[in-house]
Amino acid sequence: MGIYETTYILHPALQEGRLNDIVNTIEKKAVSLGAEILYSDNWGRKKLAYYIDKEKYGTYIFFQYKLSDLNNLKELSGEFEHNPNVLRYLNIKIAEQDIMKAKIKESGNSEKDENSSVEEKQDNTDTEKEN
Amino acid sequence: MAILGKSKICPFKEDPSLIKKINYKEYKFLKKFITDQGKIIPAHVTGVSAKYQRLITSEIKKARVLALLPFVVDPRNN
Repeated sequence: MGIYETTYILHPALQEGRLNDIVNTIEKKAVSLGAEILYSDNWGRKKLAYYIDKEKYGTYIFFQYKLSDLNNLKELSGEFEHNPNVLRYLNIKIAEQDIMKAKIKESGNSEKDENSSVEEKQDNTDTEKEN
Repeated sequence: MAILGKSKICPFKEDPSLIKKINYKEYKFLKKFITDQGKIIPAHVTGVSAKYQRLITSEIKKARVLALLPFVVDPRNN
């Protein structure tokens, strides 16, 4: 038994309705394998750091879930592996304290704040080095 | 670039709130620890302690798999 999180990249050419269909089918597959979904989020369309299957962009989908049997995780990975719309996926085992709270709207705002604070801190460290 | 041999303080010991940011989802923060070419900067340059350098390394590698960070950047392409 463990808590896992999976991030996967979907093909950039998918329209919004089709994209939601694929996300739903993957989540249904996960639930049918005994997963209890704790948190799910759409990170949106991002530019990839390198080309994957000749694609420059991708839509990132993230979800966290509880799974009782490790063999079911392998089966879920197989689902990602054989789905042509999934460019890349990553499963990671996490601790209970890493579960995110389901506040999608607020988390979107706080992410922006965090990013700006990161930049500020970077500036500070740069000036410190100069000093 | 930092001057070698000069003792530096680990940024995570100075500000423990940054430890939370060592995560592949915070790839913008992890960009501080890679060079323009995409290489991981050694700890003796950044001053990060061994404990957190190990964490940073593994998280950067996760971010690379998801194309959040590059494996290599060819300067000729930019």
